[in-house]
Amino acid sequence: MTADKELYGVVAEFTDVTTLYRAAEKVRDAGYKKWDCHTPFPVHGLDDAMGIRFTRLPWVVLIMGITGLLSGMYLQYWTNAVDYAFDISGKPVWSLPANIPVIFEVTVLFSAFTAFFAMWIANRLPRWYHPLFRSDRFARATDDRFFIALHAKDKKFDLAAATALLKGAGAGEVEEVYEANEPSGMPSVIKGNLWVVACLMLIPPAMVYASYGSTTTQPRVHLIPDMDKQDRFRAQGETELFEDGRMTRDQVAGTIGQDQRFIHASLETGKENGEFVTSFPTQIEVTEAFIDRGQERFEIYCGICHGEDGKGSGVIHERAMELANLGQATWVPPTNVTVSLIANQTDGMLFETISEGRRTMPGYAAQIPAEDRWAIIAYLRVLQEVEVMNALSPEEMAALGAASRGEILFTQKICVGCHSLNGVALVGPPLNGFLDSEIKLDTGETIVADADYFKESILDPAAKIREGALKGLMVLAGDPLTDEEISDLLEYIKTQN
Amino acid sequence: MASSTSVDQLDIFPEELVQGENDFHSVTEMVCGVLEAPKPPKSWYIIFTTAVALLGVLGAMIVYLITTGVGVWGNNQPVAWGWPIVNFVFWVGIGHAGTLISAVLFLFRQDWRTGINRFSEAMTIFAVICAGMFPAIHVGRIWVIWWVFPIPNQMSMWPNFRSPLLWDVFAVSTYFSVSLLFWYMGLVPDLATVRDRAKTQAKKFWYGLFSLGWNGSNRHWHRYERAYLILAALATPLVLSVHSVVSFDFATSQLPGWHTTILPPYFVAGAIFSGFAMVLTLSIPARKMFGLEELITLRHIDNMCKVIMATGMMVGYAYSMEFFMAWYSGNAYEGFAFVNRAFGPYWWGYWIMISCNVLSPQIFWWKKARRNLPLVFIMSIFVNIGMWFERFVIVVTSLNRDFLPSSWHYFSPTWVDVLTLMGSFGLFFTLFMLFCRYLPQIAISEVKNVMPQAHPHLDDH
Amino acid sequence: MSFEKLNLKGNNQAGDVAGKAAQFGLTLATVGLGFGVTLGLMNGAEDGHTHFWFAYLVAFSFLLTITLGSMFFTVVQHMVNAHWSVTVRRFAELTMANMPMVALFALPLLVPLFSDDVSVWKWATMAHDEHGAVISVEEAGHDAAPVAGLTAEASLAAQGQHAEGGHSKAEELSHAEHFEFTAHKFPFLNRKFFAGRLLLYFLIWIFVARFFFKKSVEQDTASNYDPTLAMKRKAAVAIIVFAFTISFAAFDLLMSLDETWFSTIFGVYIFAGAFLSSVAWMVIQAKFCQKNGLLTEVIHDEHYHDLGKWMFAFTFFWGYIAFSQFMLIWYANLPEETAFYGARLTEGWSAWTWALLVFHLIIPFGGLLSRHVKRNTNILLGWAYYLLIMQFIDLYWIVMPNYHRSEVGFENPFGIMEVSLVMGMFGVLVYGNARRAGKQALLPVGDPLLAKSLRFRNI
Repeated sequence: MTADKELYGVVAEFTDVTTLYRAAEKVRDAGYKKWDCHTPFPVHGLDDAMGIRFTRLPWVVLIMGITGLLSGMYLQYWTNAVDYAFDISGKPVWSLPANIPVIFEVTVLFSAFTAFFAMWIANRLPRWYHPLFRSDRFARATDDRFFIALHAKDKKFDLAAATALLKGAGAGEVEEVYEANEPSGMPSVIKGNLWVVACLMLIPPAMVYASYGSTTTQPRVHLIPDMDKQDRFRAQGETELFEDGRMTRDQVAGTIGQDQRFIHASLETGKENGEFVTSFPTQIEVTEAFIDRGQERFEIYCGICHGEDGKGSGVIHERAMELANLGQATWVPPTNVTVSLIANQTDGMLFETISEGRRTMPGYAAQIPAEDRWAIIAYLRVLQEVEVMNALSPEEMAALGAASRGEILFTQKICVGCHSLNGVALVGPPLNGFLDSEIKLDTGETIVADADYFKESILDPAAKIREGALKGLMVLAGDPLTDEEISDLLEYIKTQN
Repeated sequence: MASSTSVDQLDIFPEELVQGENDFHSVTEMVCGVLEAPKPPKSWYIIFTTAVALLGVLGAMIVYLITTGVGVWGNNQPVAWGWPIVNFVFWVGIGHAGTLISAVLFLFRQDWRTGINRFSEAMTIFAVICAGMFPAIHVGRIWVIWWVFPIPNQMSMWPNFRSPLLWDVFAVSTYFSVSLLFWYMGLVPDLATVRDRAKTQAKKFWYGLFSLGWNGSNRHWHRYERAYLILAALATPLVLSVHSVVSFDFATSQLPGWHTTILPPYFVAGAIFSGFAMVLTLSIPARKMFGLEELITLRHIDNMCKVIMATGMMVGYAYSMEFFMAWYSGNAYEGFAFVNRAFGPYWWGYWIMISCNVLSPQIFWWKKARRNLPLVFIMSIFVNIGMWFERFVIVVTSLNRDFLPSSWHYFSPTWVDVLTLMGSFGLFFTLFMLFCRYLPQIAISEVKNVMPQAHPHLDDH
Repeated sequence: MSFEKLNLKGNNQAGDVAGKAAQFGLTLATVGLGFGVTLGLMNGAEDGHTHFWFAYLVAFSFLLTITLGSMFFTVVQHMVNAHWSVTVRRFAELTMANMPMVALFALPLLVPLFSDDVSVWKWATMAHDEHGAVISVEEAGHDAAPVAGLTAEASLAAQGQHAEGGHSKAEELSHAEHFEFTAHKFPFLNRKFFAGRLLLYFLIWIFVARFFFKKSVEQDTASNYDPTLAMKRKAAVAIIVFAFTISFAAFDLLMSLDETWFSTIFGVYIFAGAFLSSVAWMVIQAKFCQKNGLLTEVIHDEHYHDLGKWMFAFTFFWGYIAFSQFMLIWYANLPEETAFYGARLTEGWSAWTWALLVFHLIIPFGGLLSRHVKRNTNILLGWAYYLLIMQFIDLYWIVMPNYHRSEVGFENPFGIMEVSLVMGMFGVLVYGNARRAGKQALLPVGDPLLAKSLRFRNI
């Protein structure tokens, strides 16, 4: 080994762990610092015998674990709540219980990677070359032999003394190990190439980053034919199948399409000669079963807003009023369809209302077949009849107080459809506290909304318009109110002030 | 009963973990002998060839699937999660024993794990590969599968982290990464052993490269053991979390039969159950094939049978709790779902599950049964079948009876379903056979560590 | 290896210390229970002292779960041939041997069960007519057993109840629905069957506890290993029986307080808390003995370290189970399940719920993470007491929101009565253990694994 450059140290072979353990204690007590034991498996207790300080690895892992925890949390917060807020059924974009699993996994991932990589880094591995590998005997360090290596760099190192110490501790063979002559590092060519490769590897992520959120006019790249590339006929498209090259074909003479039904004017529109019909079309036969059908349809389609009794307090209304009362929504209350105002409308008009909608109510022509719309009207007539039967007779009305009569009128004349009495602005102004308050008109004039103003507005809604209100929004359906009725209404409104 | 029991009858100081007249060197010889032998045993060739053939079938099925679409499977509304998800949960479950043996048994100081941990960790990794494949091909458009990862993309969109399916992505990929690290870390000292014994340049290079220059330094061992302990401590809750997250895929829904709070621990117990069964299925033939009977002893088999019995009981406990609560809750849908499971169109699946998972392990109450290798092997296969059917029962019976009776549908797999499942076994066994041939199957350094001569005999201690 | 006996160093007989501890326990029990009962009798006569009975149930559950946890600990050590725990196992054995006494404290619970004036288990009065016979759904005047749509209706009712603070039309509606929803459980939830089940549980537990305690003590003086073998053979069966009895006891005593709520994991949840608190209680006993010069040579840091690991592991396990239960219910958001958390997230209770998360999981998890903490016995003792308090808070949180469930919203009536009752029950626990502690050695001196237990070290 004369060609060798420098003494690395001496290495001693042991055949059993107990001798090794004792020898390690002796080396430790002799004051060596730069030395090591090499064993095929971790010998328990040897750490104490060697005097190894407890590793700080757990702390590193703890810190990185906490980093992972925060990263996992921030990753989800930033992506889902900030950068691309996912609104799924109105659920909160950031709700911790649903984020805990991923936070947990990221924490474990960070901690485990730290434990793994920090261990190798602390051990200065990988290091494929080691002077000890130059000893043939040392190959058994991974099989069944135990070694103690004293490094020449240790301050106390003295070849003769070290050899004697190890021999004295029961070592079998003691061998001197030298560093290799050649530099052991990686050839600079390979190193340089590795750097180039490492730099090149940064390009793809950089490209991804650069194209992040960018747009293009080019069509998508299809690696595999996707659904938007499949064969199909497009309306107005071209085809070679037909002589004229057009994809859209005329209807074959003498046929009708599945959706083309014979249209009967009064059945489908509720009108004849531009006038609303006043009775059911002739195709309709009003039987008990037909009315039952109407009830069923009414409860399905109409009841949610108008209420199953038709009085305008369906579940949607109830809920919307809760929100309106909290100031979280504006709401046009559904009409009480049992009152005489509605009862007096013609069948054709009701049909049009159901088909086309009224106020904020949408049309139901698409959802409800015409026959069923007529059935609903038939049932509606029943509801209205019941209301008439339950209505108070004129004598009974007269016996009530003015305010109570007013209360009934407030519903009957569907004032309630636009005006609330609890301060919530619906379509019209709330009427509690409105009487005798000062209001500003669109002429700029300020007046007191006294009883005369009320009367005038009821009889001729367009006479004086409040500032900001829409002209013609307030309509009075049915017969004009009598003076008595108006004063009853006023009495009632006064009680609500 | 004997009138006077001696300590031997108690069976509390079990047999030595390494049987026979073995020292450190002979253990090295035994394990390294397998991969240093010029040729593997004949049975290896038979299994490997079959496995590769099945792998080819899998490849063909995947190509067919991707080019045609998921319609080639039996999945159809309302059973949109058919066999692919059954197979996914099945394989992930099997993938749990490895880390459990390495990590949990390590924390419980169960020394017997050393004989089988390398083995089962490898099994874990291969099973998770098989598992991960299924959701990936199940999405239909596999070329955009990267959308599940939070990678910045041209759409400026991010995955929805509140979805349990995304938790799965994180859980399974974390589990795979950590298991891989754990496995590789355990391998490094053994690879160094192989490196130091290698005769050819190629072996010296490759084993040398992957053994990272390990030289058995005790200063290294110190940090290595600490890191190993930390990884074990991290992997234990991780094992718990992974199958819990898989169970969340089902349990967070409102589907009767899926939504029940016991699902997370029940899935974990089931995973351990099936994982140990698979370890038995693999180790009983392997120990014979490669002559490792002195390292994977009857004691190991015995202990694994006990674990199977215990986890089988836990699974049985969960079955009964679910059934009781389905009645107790008063929820008509829930009640129907469970009656339908046991007596509906898939009654046979349910009773296969019960007989394989709850009844068959009962035979392990007898020590003679636990040490009867052919019997244990057959029972382990039964458990595998039972656990596959458990997932089938959960997925299919819950889905096939939709809320709308008009949507009810009897799910049947297609030939593609069947061949894909068989092909996944091909993938698994191909990887496993390669592992058996080229890597040390048993953790050499850990086995040495639990041999009696590994401990210094110090009088003052 | 044949039969061998170890010569143990140090003082391993409780002697006077046991007497003193028993005295202390008895005083604490008398004062705590006496004060609690007096407070209970003074107030709430108008509703049959319902508040008191709820508080008593919390305190009793505290005693019961620690006893059951100790029983599980003992049996499972035999099942898996654990060696590390041998030196501390006697503490768990002493605790589980209290089972007959615990059964005695279960007797008063028959009062709220059978009295029509007390409303603890609300189904009890619902399920019976004035003659005490079980009412079936049909007899109650309802036309049919639960129908498909019922779930949804009952849920709506429950929602209405929440939204309006318990004074709504929806609530009136809910009573009828509620009854139908519950009525089909009456074959299971009725007074006689319930009492019968309680009796059965306690008979089983007393049998198991006595068997394992007697055999273990027998082994101390035996000249062979017959007793150990007997315990080993019975352990696995005992565990299975234990799993089902603790689950159903948890369903009966605690879960059925809200007769509409259900959770399949509930048995595991109670088990997690039971095991955690029983390990904490072992640490307290071990440390107490060592402070009084007992067992000084046999229990060392390694055993504390392992007990600490169990405390840590089960803190996490409890959190895992609690999170699984919460998250699944929260995510699926089915009204019949969310009612449980809904009640516990209202004004009076949300602070307790958050406290449970922070103080039962996060803080002890961080606190017990380090091995230095687990090996520092004084700090570990602090954590043990802490976890016992948490077990009480957990049980209180499970039980007490059912008091005043619908009458006045969800107020939290926490007060001196709860504290004194649970202190009293703790006194009972101390007394029970101390009374028996002096009668044999403080560790299973004859256990074949004792030598190994004394030797082992954590890596």
